[in-house]
Amino acid sequence: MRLIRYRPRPELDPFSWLSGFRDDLDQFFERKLAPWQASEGELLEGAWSPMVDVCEDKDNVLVRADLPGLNKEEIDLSILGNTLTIKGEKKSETEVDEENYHRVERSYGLFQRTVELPSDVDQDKVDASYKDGVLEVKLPKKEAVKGKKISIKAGEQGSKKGKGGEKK
Amino acid sequence: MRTEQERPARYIEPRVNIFEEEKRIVLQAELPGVSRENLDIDIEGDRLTITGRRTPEDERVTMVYGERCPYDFRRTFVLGNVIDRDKVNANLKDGVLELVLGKIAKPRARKIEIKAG
Repeated sequence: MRLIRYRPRPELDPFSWLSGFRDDLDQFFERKLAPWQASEGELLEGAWSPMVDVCEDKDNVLVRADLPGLNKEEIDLSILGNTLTIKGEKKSETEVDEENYHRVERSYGLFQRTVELPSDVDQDKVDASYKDGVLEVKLPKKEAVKGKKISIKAGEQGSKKGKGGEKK
Repeated sequence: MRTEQERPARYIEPRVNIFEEEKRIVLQAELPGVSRENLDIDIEGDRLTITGRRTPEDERVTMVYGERCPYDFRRTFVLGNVIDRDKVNANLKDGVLELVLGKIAKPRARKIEIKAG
């Protein structure tokens, strides 16, 4: 469910809706993408969270987050170990009296999102940019995780290493 | 590279806020990832359609975790009689489209004097 103001007098609404089609779409996406979507209760409390993609190639981990309508100064990005945290506050661009709204679907307020990175990254070389409402963070993988060949040694036969602690 | 025909012809509706002021109606639509050259606003008859194309994901990367909708944005609105088709202004900034739709000035009611017969 999206947060949509109920408008009791549709004849006054300058925009009427292709409602059947719209419901189908809503249903489709709700079914398909439900896990990340905040429940209605959370939405009403003002909590929201941006949608995130995590990709990787040979050298980098790439994180993208949809954050339309923010300034880059309003986004706070931090990394601890393999966890990237994106947080901030989205403020309304315009001050409008409530009664003048026909439709309110956009979310505002504080948001926080943590993303588990799929591999170790070099924290000093993280590069972040914000364009067209999308935050893109490029995290170079640590040399060590780029794919080191591991040689397999011949194991000692009959080794009971892991079962120590039974000595008396 | 995928060609235009091979891209899924599926759309997601952008989230919008619509509010009304004395002389205009403002529509804000969230279109993250859409640049100016990938945005179309069409008015046909009483229908206004916003279409925003997102850049397809580079296929050399592997998606580990994907939540962002891969589809393009599209949403159609029906314009009421109050909107002046010639007074539509659009501005796209940081993934938010702001459409300002001017209202048709209402003709003032003329006072008619009643003469004594």
